[in-house]
Amino acid sequence: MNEPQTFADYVSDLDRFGANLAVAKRSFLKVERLTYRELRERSYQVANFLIASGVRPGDRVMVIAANSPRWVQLLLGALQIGVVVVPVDASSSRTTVLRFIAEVAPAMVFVEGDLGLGSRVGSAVHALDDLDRLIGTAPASAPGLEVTKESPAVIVFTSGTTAAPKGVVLSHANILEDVAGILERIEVQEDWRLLSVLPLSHMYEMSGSLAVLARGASIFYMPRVTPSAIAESMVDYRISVMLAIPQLLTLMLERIRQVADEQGRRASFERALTLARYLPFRARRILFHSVHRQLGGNLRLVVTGGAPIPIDVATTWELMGVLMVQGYGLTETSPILTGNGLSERRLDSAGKALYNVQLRIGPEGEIQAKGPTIFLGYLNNDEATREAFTDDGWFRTGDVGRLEDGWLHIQGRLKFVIVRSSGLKVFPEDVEVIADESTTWSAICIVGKKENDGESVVAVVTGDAPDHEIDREIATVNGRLASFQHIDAWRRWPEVDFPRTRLLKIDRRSVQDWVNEVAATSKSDARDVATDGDAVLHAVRQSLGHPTGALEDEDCLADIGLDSLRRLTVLSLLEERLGVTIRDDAIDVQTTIGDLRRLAGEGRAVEAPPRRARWPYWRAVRFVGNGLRETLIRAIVRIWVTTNVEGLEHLASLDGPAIFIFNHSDDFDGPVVYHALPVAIRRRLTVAMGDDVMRDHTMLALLARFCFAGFSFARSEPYLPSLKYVGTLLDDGWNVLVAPEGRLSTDGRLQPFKSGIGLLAVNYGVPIVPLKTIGLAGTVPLHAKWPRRRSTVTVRIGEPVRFGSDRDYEDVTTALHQIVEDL
Amino acid sequence: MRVHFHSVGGALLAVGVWSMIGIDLVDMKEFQRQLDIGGATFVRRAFGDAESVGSGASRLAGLWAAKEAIVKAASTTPWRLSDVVVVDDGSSLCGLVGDERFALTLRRQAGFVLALAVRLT
Repeated sequence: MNEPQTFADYVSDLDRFGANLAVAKRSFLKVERLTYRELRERSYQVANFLIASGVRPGDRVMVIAANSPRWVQLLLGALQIGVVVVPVDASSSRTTVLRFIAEVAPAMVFVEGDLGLGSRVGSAVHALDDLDRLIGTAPASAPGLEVTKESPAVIVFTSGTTAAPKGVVLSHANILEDVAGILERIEVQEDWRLLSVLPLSHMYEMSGSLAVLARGASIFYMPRVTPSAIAESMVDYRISVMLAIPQLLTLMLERIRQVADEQGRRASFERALTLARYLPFRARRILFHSVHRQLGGNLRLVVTGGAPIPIDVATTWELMGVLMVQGYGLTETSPILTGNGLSERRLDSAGKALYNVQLRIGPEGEIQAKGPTIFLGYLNNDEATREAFTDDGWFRTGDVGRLEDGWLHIQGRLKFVIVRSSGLKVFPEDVEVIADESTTWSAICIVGKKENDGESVVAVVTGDAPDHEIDREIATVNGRLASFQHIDAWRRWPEVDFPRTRLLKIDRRSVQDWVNEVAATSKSDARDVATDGDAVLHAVRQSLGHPTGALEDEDCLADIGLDSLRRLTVLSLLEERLGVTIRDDAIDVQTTIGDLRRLAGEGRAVEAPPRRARWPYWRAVRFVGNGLRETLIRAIVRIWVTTNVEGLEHLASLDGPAIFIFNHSDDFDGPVVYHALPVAIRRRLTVAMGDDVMRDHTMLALLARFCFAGFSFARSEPYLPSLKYVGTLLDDGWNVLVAPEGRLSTDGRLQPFKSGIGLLAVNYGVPIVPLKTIGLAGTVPLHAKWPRRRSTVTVRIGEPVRFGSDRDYEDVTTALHQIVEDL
Repeated sequence: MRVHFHSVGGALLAVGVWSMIGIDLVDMKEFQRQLDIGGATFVRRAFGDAESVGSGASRLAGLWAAKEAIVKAASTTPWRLSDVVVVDDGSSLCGLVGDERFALTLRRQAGFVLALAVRLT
């Protein structure tokens, strides 16, 4: 396949995937979803809006926001006309943002929420949420500006705590070459469903997303990236692929083991892992089907990067039937340099160089690279740019590694290599691999401390184990290390956790500085322990939002300023972090922190949402089920009902999934309406059935699922899971048939609609097609078993209608009722 | 809006009447902050599905104030906040907890929402 040479080509190519879902974000209060066609059109509108606002090619647009479809729309809109995008992590402090702004002088800044930038900035500041309004009526056609491959595309500030962050300038060619390299190594499939967990301000996520979108797959964003949100989204969206950092996989694996423990199935889990070694991938997925069910049942591939993945974690995931593909790169290299492939992969290696990348190992074992993905330079910093390259023009990664038959093995960062007075080199990562296995500390970080001659190896630990236990454990670790690697001293980090980079790696530079400066002058460091890392205190502090003095177990919630609003926030946070539900009425103004901690320990686990049957949507089931419906059921319906269909021409404008609504006048109308629709639609048409019916009538439920791809829809609270499920079906390209009256009309008159239909119309933005059956009422009246009489029925199809997300759902419900009434 | 705290005569009468009235004041800024921290879980715990879907922060803040006011006016403490139902029929607001009904008024001013609930027996 020809890869696009510029972003103008890239955007134009998106049309190939037309009605496929490109990007979606479903949060509690709103839904954003864009098909490939919409994404292309909207990005054209963004481009034309930028031009009309006076933003010129080469100008910079800064985006400080969490990932969302609008973010992607803006990215593609800007890049195709040569406007440089400067992504900034949404959690950056105001000071950092102002420093970045001073550095790049953006023509326009897009923010999420209120950063209080206001008049401090000489550029136009917009809310990203306002993008749709801003682009308003801008033309949705290609602006047709020529952009050279060598011109800058993005400026990304690298993570790090140094005073002056470096802006990495990447060109159009850099990024598109990297995307081509990724796609050559990993064959992205159109049906992939990717969960986005990393910020788009990181090149790993940006290039990864661009690669996925170049092949027509779907990306799902979350309103907030928390462990519980990830777990929920994996199930809701049936995620098949993730780009992740090793830390997340370690956490998820811990959680899986914990669940196995709670169910008393830990031993059989570990036995299954042993057995899985002899099984092919497909069989492993069956063996671990209960684990896969927790993960949404569809997770097949995780691409990891950002840090080396511990080999035992990678192995365990593979034994459970999930492919682990590791890569390596830096922001300066757009970012991927090496990667494993789906078929050819090694868990202990960062993979082989991409086809367009050359690698060599330089002096001191440093990995050096050359190729079209290497960046243009650091912004306003020629000296740093010069230092980043060798005299013969190779990019210096600063990482140490070795190449074996082309397979790259990373050993650590060059600058953190600890050089002993003997000249022997200790890689902190080598010591940490062994030390990490201990549970005496929560985390450990190995750094070098400057001595008179050379450096010594210092371990910095977190956690609250007593000193003598740590002493003993350090001795054990040393026993397993080569003598030159021995830990010489240890210190306890003064806070709960180490400072971490955006990718959650320990910020080794800060720890090293602390050991060399602060800790060196303080005598009592090892005793200076401050541990209050428990979730309860953390939640209380977060909800209060301002520093508090020491909090004691006896402190009353009211006394420390927790009103009812903040108390509910604390309970919500505990539910998310610990997975326990504490009843609202279990706490009041009298409750103390100690009580809260006890309640958190006793709280019952959060109830899992009911499982949805997936089998009705399997291809094979649909094949047989549809066949049966088209022949047998259709024939039976024809015995009793002759159907005339009017208004079929209205369906011509549909180019994606839609919701079909009809008046429920007769038990027989479901099949009649179903068959009134053209084959192209009913091949992917599912029916909402009342949950009580599906529960109480097993045979009917089976028939509905098998022949009509039916699903159960709640007729009483809670509605939300059902509404969300309709969203999932629409995302998958299913048309949905609903009777919004909720139940059969007893007198043939149209009853008021349930407001759920208004919510669906407003939140999902898909067209609603009104249908009306005339003359059917009474064929099978309520509670009758068999048709009473033959009838001739007219099914009238109205014009599809769409409602904007700013409409009130109650109004929309009433409007839809009127439309069906008037048909 | 002014609230006259001294308009009720005798102390005994005051106790009787005031126990039927609940007032709650919500700072929009603070509410938005708690909404950001607590996220979907917060919304789900405070409001029923039908109440919250498609609502913005401003409407939720109003709902919250209304519910808090109702809780203060109710004779029993409801099990969960989502058991307090607020009905908006366009022209007037009313609240329900179990069998008890409440009249409601909402005022929005200068970044605050004030709710007043009166138990109707």
